[in-house]
Amino acid sequence: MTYQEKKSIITFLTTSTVTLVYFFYVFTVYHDGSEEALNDLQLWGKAILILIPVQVIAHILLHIIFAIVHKIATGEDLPSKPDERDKLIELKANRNSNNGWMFGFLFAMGALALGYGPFIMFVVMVSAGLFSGIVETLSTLYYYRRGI
Amino acid sequence: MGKTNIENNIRKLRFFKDEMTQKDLADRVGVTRQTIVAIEKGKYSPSLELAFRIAHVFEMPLEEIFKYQAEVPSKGEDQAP
Repeated sequence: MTYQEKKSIITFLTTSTVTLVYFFYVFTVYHDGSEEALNDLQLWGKAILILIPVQVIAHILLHIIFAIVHKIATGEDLPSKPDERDKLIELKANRNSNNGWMFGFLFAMGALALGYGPFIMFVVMVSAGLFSGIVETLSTLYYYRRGI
Repeated sequence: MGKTNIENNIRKLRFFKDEMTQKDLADRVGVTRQTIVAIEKGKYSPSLELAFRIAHVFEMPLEEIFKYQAEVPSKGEDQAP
């Protein structure tokens, strides 16, 4: 498995773990058990905005740790910068991921249209984000293994 | 995806060029070793610039390194309706 493939898996695992742990923390600490709290738009807005820097910091830390562990375990030098093939694979995987998230967004709007509350909408959108991460990782692995 | 229509003989040329390694070639043309592996296996078609850089390393014209295999149309495709 190449460095880029491992990095893609690490990125996905980091994103999904941080997202799940973060929202579990938010809704166990700040949720008072009422249904109103679940549909509190302000809480959701703050939670999602704060998630962004949390994800950034988690990614930076985990990628530094991964780079050090990879160097120690394999002895290989890390690629200095992505070459044209890496960039093309990243673009295609990103496109697939965006398409996946778009479907998730449409499902979220569908949930609203069917009369479900904002809680369901946000859960579907966060799930769509996780799903798009899976799509991106699988696409990256597929293109590296099978070619583009 | 998968195999491309462009064939190459980079592996053979590397061997005849003082048994150049994939890493050496990759460093000379500015890509990773994995990209050279993918090109040799036909899993990736290099850009025009990269193809020219590879040709420059081997000091040979492009068409002697890369060959395009046109797709053979399946039966019935080119027949008149």
